[in-house]
Amino acid sequence: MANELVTTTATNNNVVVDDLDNKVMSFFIEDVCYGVDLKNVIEIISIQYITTVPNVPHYIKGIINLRGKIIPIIETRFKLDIEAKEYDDKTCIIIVELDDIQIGLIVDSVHEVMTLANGSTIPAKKEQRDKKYLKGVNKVGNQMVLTLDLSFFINDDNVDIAE
Amino acid sequence: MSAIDASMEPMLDMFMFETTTLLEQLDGIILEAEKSKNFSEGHVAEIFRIMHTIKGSSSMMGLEAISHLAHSVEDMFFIIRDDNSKQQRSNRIFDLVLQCSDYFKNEVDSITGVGYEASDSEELNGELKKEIAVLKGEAPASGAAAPAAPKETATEPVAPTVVAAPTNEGGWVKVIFEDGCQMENIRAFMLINQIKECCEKIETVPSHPEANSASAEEIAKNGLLINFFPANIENEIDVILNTAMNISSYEFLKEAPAEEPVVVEEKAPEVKVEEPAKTAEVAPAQPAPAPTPAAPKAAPATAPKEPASGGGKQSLISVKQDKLDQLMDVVSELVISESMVASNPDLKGLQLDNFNKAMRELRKLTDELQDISMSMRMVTLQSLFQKMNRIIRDMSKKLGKQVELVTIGEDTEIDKTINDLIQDPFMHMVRNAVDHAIEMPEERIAKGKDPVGKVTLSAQNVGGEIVIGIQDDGKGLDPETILAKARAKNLLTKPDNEYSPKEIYNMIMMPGFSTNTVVTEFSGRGVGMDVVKKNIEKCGGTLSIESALGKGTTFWINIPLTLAIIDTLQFYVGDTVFAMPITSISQSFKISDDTKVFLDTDGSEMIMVRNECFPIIRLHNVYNVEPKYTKLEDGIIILIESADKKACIFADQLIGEQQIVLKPFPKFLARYNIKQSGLSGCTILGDGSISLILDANVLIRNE
Repeated sequence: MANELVTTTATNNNVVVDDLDNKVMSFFIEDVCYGVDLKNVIEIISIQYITTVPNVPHYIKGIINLRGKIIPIIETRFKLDIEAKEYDDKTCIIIVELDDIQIGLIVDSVHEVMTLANGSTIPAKKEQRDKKYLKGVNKVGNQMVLTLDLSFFINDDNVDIAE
Repeated sequence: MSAIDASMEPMLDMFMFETTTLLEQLDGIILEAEKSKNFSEGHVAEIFRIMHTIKGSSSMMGLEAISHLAHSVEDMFFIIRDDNSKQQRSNRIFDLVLQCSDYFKNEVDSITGVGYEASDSEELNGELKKEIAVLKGEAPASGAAAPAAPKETATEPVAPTVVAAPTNEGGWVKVIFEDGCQMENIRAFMLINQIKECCEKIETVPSHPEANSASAEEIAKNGLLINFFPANIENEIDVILNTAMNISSYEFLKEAPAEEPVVVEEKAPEVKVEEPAKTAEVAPAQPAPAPTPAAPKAAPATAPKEPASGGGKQSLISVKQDKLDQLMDVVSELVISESMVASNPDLKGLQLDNFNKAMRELRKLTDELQDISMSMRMVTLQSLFQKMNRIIRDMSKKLGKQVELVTIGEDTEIDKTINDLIQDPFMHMVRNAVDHAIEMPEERIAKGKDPVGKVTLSAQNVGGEIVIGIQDDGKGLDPETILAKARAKNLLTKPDNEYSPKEIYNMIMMPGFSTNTVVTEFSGRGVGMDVVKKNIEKCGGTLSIESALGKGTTFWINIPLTLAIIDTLQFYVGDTVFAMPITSISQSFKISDDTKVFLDTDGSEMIMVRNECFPIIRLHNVYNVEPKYTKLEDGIIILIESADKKACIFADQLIGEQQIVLKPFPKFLARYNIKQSGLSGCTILGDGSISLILDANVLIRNE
């Protein structure tokens, strides 16, 4: 989906493509608004049955079948060290892609696509980054958005697997 | 040239594929010809076509060693084509050509390696020259005695007609190419073709640059000299040269250069080819460069067309294997989605006559599509068997044995992946048969056997499996010798008399077991049969041995038709669906009472089945799933086996048997050692849910 978006806009206007860098897909966990870079977002699907896989960290809920593709699903709450919550009709899975790896992130609800003003990002403190995988903090309108460092989020693996 | 030119990289794959296919064809032809001890006209023409294509494509790739050698082979067959009776003068042609073929294969194989350097072909080249001399049969110094000699000197023997009169009228132009523009000969050839269009006649120095890559250097150094007729088209040529690429300078000469072009043309390319091969014996054999003018103006035009017309006959296209894999994937998905639509819960209880009709039609088509996409991956065993032909020939010559190869069912088709996987094991077994099993002719006569040993390769389609047999009528396996050897190597685990013949035969597949005490060039390194067995198991196959002492041995390889689709038994553990390949399951059963279940000393559960004792693996414990049943009587017990061990697994409930498409786990999960926990992958079921595929080998090993 996002890929199509990129190609169509690319033919129209190159400047728009550059602007994709400043767009984030925002979502909620509890009352906090987080964002992931829009360029990494493939699509958003509703929550579905997840097949559990053994011998993986607890935050990996399992795998799903997305039109023939097997995609691992991460419980974003667990990864961010937040208590579990029952899934409801607002619960969504955001499918993101990074370096050919596709994974799904379970979130409480999806908010909207936000444009971050150039230079408005306040870089995250080291502690915030290490614990919450944050890249920076932004204010869009009245909404505070915490943008995730997706690469760090996906690749950090210091959680005990035996858990 | 030490490596492939960067600009040629994209063509490398194609080149290698094409050349390998051609060489396989060549081997086939030579072996066939050797059987009848005669090259028929058809053979010669075919060899010509193959050599010509190899020569052309390798010189384009800048692989001069290959193209030189191909050229020499072509030279040799030129003589035979000219006069078929000449081939009787030599019996080494077959060996020589096969050696050349090996050289080509080695080269092609090593091209992709880092720091590739062309290996030395001079020796072979020299041999070929000698052979050419022998074929000509007479003191070649006289030149005229051998009718082929004058034509032989032409660099392009395929050129059919030789009509030209020496002349130095017309205009002259000298073209210098840019330094380091590479492949000057090909560029020159393209240029010549361009110019030819606007003039009546054209001659060049060196002539036919495209036919001989050595001329590239010459052109780079001395430039390309073009003699065109009539002289008044200078302006047109000027335009062509002006627009041509990579030309650093050119000048029109008032008169013919000092060198007589025709003579240079005769000598220059020829000498270049011969130079590396110049040995004492060869020197007199060199065809005397008769000053016959040999510059057919048609030659440059016809020459490159030759391979094209040869290749145009076949209605084959080559496709990358990835693409076929992709197609297979998509088709499998399609089949699954189709059944998802057909059994969609939304349709339940509805009267849908038209829909059902359309659905049936769709199913028919998808089934057909699945069959076709499967069949596209299939290759016949012909080329594999053919390679064995070659191996047997070489080995029997070297070992002084007489061996005949019989092939049955070489049309049998097999998945390409499997074909590649079994190639090495296959080769090893055939080598073993010739080296160890087949006796020397005298020995065979003494035993009352036909002095010519027989190796039979057979293949047939049995059910969902391909059964390949490698049978020899040699000495057979001697159980005593095997036992003694196993004892010496401490491989025995029970008293000798408790071993069945089958068990004894299987010992030869143990690591480090080799019955041949002498290591030969071909076999006997002791890494043999166990590697063979492992390779065959890797593609889901099994290997079994039948043998009769003194009569021969047969190895049977059973392999599945395709790797992509496997038969599985599926069962529930809690909500999770697991699938186990049928090949690893020996039986499933319920236990009525747990009297047969007892605890091992370390507290693990064991079960007695027909007086054998197996450990019980509770899947819900292994995979931390919440099971429906924990009491063994409630669930189901499945007896699984790996290569040498058996175990029982405990699951909740059987679902049934189903064919599935094995999918690897996503890349992201690769870091978590899922495979180590006994899951080989997953698959998507008809209803879109995912099932995990168990790996019996790992499960049992972990137990």
